[in-house]
Amino acid sequence: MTDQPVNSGIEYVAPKEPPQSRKPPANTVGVVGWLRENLFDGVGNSIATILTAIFLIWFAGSVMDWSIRTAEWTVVNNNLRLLMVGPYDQDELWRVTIMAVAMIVLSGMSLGFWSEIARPVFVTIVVVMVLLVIVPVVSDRFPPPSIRTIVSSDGDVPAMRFVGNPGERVTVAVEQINAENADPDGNAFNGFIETTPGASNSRSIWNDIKQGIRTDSIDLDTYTLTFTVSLVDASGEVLETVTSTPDEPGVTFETPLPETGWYGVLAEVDESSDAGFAWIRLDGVETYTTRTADVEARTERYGEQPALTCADGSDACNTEVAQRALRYEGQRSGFDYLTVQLSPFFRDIAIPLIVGTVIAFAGGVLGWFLKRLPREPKRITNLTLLVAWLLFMPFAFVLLRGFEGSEAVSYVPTTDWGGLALTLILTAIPIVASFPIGILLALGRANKDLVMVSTISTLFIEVARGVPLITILFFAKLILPFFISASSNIELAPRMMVGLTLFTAAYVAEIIRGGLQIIPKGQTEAAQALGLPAFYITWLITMPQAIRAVIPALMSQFVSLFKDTTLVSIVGLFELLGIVELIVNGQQQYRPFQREAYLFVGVVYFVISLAMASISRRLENTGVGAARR
Amino acid sequence: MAEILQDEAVKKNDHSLGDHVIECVNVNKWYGDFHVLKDVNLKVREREVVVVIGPSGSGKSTLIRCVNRLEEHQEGDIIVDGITLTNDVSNIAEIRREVGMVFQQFNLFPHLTVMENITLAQRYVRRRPRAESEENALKLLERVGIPEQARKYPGQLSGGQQQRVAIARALAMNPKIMLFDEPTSALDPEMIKEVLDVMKELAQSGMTMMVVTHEMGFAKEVADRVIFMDSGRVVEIGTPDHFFENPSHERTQLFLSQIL
Repeated sequence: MTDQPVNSGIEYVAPKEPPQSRKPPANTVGVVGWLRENLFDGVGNSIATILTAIFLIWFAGSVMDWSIRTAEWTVVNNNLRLLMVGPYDQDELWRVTIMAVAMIVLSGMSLGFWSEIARPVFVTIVVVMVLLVIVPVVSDRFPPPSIRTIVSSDGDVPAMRFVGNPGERVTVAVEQINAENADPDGNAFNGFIETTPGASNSRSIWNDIKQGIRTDSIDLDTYTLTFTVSLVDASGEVLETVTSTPDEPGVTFETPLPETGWYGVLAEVDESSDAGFAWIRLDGVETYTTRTADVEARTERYGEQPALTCADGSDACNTEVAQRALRYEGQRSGFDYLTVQLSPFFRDIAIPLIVGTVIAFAGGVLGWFLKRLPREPKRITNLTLLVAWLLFMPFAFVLLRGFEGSEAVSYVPTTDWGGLALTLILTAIPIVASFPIGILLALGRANKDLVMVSTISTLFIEVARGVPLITILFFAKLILPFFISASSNIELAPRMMVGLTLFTAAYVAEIIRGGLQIIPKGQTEAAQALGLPAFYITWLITMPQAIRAVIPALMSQFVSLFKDTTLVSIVGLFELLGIVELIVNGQQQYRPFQREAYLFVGVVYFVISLAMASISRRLENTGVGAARR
Repeated sequence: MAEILQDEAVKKNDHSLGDHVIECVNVNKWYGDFHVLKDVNLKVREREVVVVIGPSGSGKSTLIRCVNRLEEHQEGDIIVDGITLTNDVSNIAEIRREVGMVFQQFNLFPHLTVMENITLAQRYVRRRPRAESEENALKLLERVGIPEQARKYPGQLSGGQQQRVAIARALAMNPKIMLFDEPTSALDPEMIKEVLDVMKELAQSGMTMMVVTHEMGFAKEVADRVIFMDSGRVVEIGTPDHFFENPSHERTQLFLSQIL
């Protein structure tokens, strides 16, 4: 600079060619850059990151630990049909299937035609499908878990019943529970409890023993148990027997089974025993799952579960079923969890889910091809898809309901609908119906020229928003028939749909009105200047922009509606949450497993809400929304 | 005096002027209590280019917005293409079909492609078939110099390109009159020229134009007449030569002394 002449008036002139563009510094881009910028950006952020990570790991660990070591998922497994369709007539389930298939095909096509599947979603779906297949297949290759029961001095020892085939070798082993190996929180004590129906109190008895060991109120030092353990077949004939004495408690035998059928392991405690506890462990037998389908298959193959005669010839072994039926299967390890709980569940849901996914992908591919059509057929496809969705709702409703007096599609009253199917119907129909009503209300309220229309719209919106939804639902159920006598003929479910629709429409109206307000006045003016009539200005210019602007708010309203359908359980419909209440309160053996059941439906609600949110994000990011940014 | 000047007006572009297509007779307008247009009298002939200038708030935008009834005047008559503006909806619709307008903020429809922006009114107002509308739209895009942008969305274009699309959109209706409301005020300096060039070409083709602008160069070069407004009234009307070289009114002289 200094050697430039000061009086030339020019201070600096850049070289003719601009400098070459360079890459940004390596630690500001890619994974490292992202981490630096977002997670470890300064001391405060780093501490927050680490603390949050610790909390998340702890929380996820606790949930996993509980669901593997404590939870009892049979309640979900055994009631899948109820959870999906509720008390819907079992012989008429084909209608639900048709509805589901139609919905899946339409969804797949719409996704392929109007949008596309994001890669993370696709990967997630594929991973889930692969797991659904792999878990049952792999778990079949593990040896079946051992079955355990506890022998105590009070003499009541559960009879372990199992099925077997010729040549299968079973091992029966006895082990004293002493101060060294007693671990009430360990895997051995935390097997999966299997009970026969009606044996609901047994869990608490075994929990008492566990609790006693844990608190030292049970003395494990004295051991005076003498008992015989015998393997019997269905007729009561003893195949093998051993005696465990205080001097030599650890006895064991291994024996091949002679024929296909039921067997039992019985224990007879000697009178002289008055202290101590021992395990009887049974290895090498098929897991005795209480999944309804498994029970039926077992009865089919091996016959009814026989009554067992005790070793002394009495039938005492069949008394007090409640306590005697209890036993632990497997240990609470990850592998046994896969085998005993996850794998049967996956087996149940794998086929429907995989078939559904394949159908959805087929629809998606079809939609993808339709998207590449020339403009005119594409426009027709667009319309056809829209109309198909609109027609699908009444079609599904009529199909599920059937006709009075019809043979082929007999009448199934909506009070018999339930489960996830009812929840989805109670969500979908009000969404579709509340949308146009909400648009009309929004236009009505925003209209400054027709004061009456505006007043009535405002009044409706404020009333519907100012009253709790549950009140509206009760109104639809109880009060409406007094005003409109014809409405008493309408079934409960449609009345609930009307209530949900009107409630949602009020919110949709306010959301859309908010969207209309942010559309610049110039848009309307430009359209007016072109000579467009008012209807076209709304339909083609302001409304599309307003709706696009409020997609997130609309979608969150619809997610909220989806969750609010749970309220209809209070007025007497068994949607997903109502049916869970019915299961855990109506079937005695599932009463202890409310947590599992509620957690399961919680996850179902969450997954569906998440899917709705992700659809909303796709809508925001595709087409014009993306181009405008 | 205004009357005399109007009659003496000489067409600068090489075609003769036709009949009066816009007539404002004693137009008054209020925003609430605020008297925004005061006794405005004005006549624009067919194929004439009239530039309206004046300080902010002088009512020049309001005046041209009254011509296609985006604003409603309360007193006086506005006669466009022989039709007196009233509140009759079909009346308004008829006038808007004949009058195109270009806005300061472009006001393109952001959710539609450039092509759709230009074909929309043709299809829904003129009821032209889609193919014909699109052919027409492409011709217009070529005329404004951006045929390659047809499939893009307005948000992907520069300001100058957007304003040219807006001009094409207005022209697609085959209007008899074009109104320009400060068409270059929202543009970067480098883009003003491309829009003004399109407007010059339009003027030379014989379009009747009423332009509110601050571009004095454009006024000098293209306008047949210049109208100067201040505080809601017409202060002076004259040919650009007369207006810029030898303004008569004190207010005009002050205005010009400040901007030149």
